[in-house]
Amino acid sequence: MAEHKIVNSFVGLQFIYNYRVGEYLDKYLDGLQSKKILGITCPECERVLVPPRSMCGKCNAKTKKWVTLKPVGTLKNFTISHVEIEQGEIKDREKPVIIGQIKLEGADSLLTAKIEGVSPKEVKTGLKVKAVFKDTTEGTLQDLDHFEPVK
Amino acid sequence: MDRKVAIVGYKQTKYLEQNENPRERMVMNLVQSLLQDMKITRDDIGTFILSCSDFQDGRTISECFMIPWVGAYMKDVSKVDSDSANAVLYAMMRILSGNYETALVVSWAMGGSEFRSPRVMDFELDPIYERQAKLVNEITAAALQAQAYMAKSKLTEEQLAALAVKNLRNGARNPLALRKKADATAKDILSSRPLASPLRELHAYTPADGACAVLLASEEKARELTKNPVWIKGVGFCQDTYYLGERDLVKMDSLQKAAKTAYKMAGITDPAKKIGVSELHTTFVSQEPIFAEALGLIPKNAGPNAVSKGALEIEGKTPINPSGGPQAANPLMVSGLIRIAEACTQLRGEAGEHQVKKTPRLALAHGQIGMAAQHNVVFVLGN
Amino acid sequence: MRNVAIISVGYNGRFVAKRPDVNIPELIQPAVANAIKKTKLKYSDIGVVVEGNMPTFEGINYPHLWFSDHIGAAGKPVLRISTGGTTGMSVFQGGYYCVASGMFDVAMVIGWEKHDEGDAQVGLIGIVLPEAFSMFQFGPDMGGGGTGMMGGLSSTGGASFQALSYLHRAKGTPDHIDKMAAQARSNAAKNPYAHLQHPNCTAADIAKTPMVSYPLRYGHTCPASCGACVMLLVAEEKVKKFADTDRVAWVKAVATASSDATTGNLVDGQINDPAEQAICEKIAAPKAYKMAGIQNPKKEIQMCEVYDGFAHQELMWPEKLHLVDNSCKAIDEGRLAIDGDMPVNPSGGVVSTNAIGASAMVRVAEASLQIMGMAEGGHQVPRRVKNALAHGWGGLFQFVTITILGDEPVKR
Ligand SMILES: [Zn+2]
Repeated sequence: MAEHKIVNSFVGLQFIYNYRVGEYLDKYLDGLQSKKILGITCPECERVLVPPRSMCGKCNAKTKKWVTLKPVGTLKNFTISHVEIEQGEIKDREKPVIIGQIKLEGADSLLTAKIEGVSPKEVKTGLKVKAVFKDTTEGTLQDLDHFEPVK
Repeated sequence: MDRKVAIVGYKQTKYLEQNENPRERMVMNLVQSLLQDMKITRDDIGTFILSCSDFQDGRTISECFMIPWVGAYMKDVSKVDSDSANAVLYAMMRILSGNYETALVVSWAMGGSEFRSPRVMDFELDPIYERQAKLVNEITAAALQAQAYMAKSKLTEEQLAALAVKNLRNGARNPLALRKKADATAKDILSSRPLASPLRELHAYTPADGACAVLLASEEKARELTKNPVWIKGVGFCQDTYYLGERDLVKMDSLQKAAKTAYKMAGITDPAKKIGVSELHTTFVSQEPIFAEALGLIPKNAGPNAVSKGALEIEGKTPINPSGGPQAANPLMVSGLIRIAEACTQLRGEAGEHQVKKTPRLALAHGQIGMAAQHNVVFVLGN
Repeated sequence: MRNVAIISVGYNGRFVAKRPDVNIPELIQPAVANAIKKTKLKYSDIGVVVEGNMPTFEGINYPHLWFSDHIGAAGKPVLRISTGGTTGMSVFQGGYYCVASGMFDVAMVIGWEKHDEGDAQVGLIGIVLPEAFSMFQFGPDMGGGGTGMMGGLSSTGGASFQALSYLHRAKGTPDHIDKMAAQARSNAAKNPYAHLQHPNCTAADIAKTPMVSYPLRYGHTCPASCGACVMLLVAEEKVKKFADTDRVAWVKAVATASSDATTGNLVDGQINDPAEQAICEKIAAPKAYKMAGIQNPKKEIQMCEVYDGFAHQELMWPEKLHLVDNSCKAIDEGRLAIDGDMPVNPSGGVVSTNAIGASAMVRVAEASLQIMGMAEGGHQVPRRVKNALAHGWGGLFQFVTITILGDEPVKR
């Protein structure tokens, strides 16, 4: 097999995008900053969606009526993640992280979040969990740090 | 629709970690050899439908550099920016309109060497929530889907490993495949690098460099070009909501709807009986039983049983991915087109070592994109 | 062949430079709602959604996955088409084929761009750099427009070569480009959705703007806009059922052709010249006229919307489309104005409003509004438009798309 030259395709430019989060996620982030989880209701199917957005695709209706959800729920599904994707590379995590899908009380969609305070060997679906916020919140998704079992 | 559309020719490259040629020459060689096989020139092609991605190629409007290499200089071209099975769908609609008699679909990606998938896949996430939350990616999304299925159907980790073994073995029978292992065992799979439970590296697709071209023709033209055309009997496509937490990851509404449309068009009421072989775009093997159930190829929750009985093997009752599927080689968005080409190979009885036992009369090919297969395309092909 | 009609057009609102108040799905959604509002359609009647933009401009691969819920696409067939500058019209033609094929009765097509999320130059440099790599691999063509792109390191670089070559061929002067730009900006002021509106703009106003790359001035270039365009396409049998207007726009012809990015337009042995455009003049335009059954485009077509990323293209394209013999002369005579005999871009064109993924679709949308007699704010052409032509270009001056619309279907 003939070995051909390689043309270096490294481009020494930084591509910065500034994404606007929009009205609904903006309000959700404000909620997280004050340690609250906000959902929004579809006026037609009455589903409470979290994270909130402007439209319900099931009914093609504009969502209305904000609700503050109780920061407690049930673990419905989870995976134990051994890797993370950092800058386009799959890297092993220092220790595995439990990523769960949580049904918050009063919500109709599942929220994806980290689960701590239970070992990967013992975690089970059906577990009752509660939200744990960072001590100092900044209005980012990371303010809601993880969920842990309700003692 | 009073016209019928057939696939009259197809060609795949060998799938490699790094192709010896740049993508331009790889694609040119492929198209030229297909045209030679068909004994036609580029002037016989009515329209070109390309399928490539600016992210997978690492440049803006990637196809504009490829026009001469696919033979489309001064010709009629469009590009589908999605799994390449969608491009076949578009080519078919163009022929059905009566505006064209032939269409060439070409798709390529350097998924093995230049732009490996994790670099690309994160761009599929919405930038304002999932990319910021850094929890959902193609691995964790497929893992959550696999977990949900295993909880529901009681599929075991050993059975999941057996599926991966099957695909590596099938790959060993496919001369174009990249990852192949005739003597693979469940232990190999279960000791490979853990990604996100229950998924490990050997459950995952194998990123590869490669390209595939498929030539379509109207009924009249098809009979002129080949003795054994493969007819597009039915097609369906559908897209689900984006939000993982609002989807039933096991039931797969979008795949079910796509299949329903395709079966209706093909006049099939009992796919489990009628479909002789299926080529599915599965990013992880765990999707095989999930898709098979959504497609009605096996009964609900029958995945574990199908695996232990070997029903999904080449020699089994419901062969899935005799080519080894994306686990054996996956040049990203080219996958859907490869599934279609492989299904044609099976229908024509040209698959050689990985030919299913009884040459099928109907075959199913599937393409997808998105986290946990949000968008699905289903083709029913027959001769 | 099945006839297809455009029954409604929806914009999200006025196209502007910055929309910090919305995210991408929120930008697009009102355009969908506005298009549906003007019909008797319900969301459930829409059979298929075809969408497209320039994905690297916002840095999102397959963005349609994200906003299914916002565009009425959740649980529906969705097709994504993207072809650079021609994206909008390629998407439109995709929607046309969805219906013309008999697969669907109703298609919704969406073209959009939100330029303030990223930097258009990020995306455009993504074209120029690979072009350089391509030349290293396959050898440069020193006479080519490709080299022009390299020289200018932007699309303006290549466009200035094209503008000079065009002026030379047409025996025009840079003043003609000033005049054209002034007409575009004044027309835009009569279009409530246009971005750069400058009522009664004069050639002298344009001539005062800084030179970018001779002969192109700042006033000859397009803005980067945020906006979305949506159209609803319906099969002939369903027009009565779904259209809320007596006058719909019928799709009479669609055509497209592509050339080479680096070595260019080599038809008849000519070296590459971005002002040559044989793909339009010799391939796509004749094909479109044949399909539409039009023998004398100058007489039978009453207006056109061309893709003019730069003002000189608004002069060049009508010539390549066989609509005008010499645009420099025609603009001097006022024939390209809204009340002229071949109005070009009554909407203000791309040079006044450019949300790239939407732009080529907006050309079709504007042409259809002219046929329906529904162009708002004073940019409706006074005489009745029976046939209208929409045009798009993309890539490195190497893709061309053409759509011809009429007030009645072609009898086939
Ligand atoms: Zn709802």
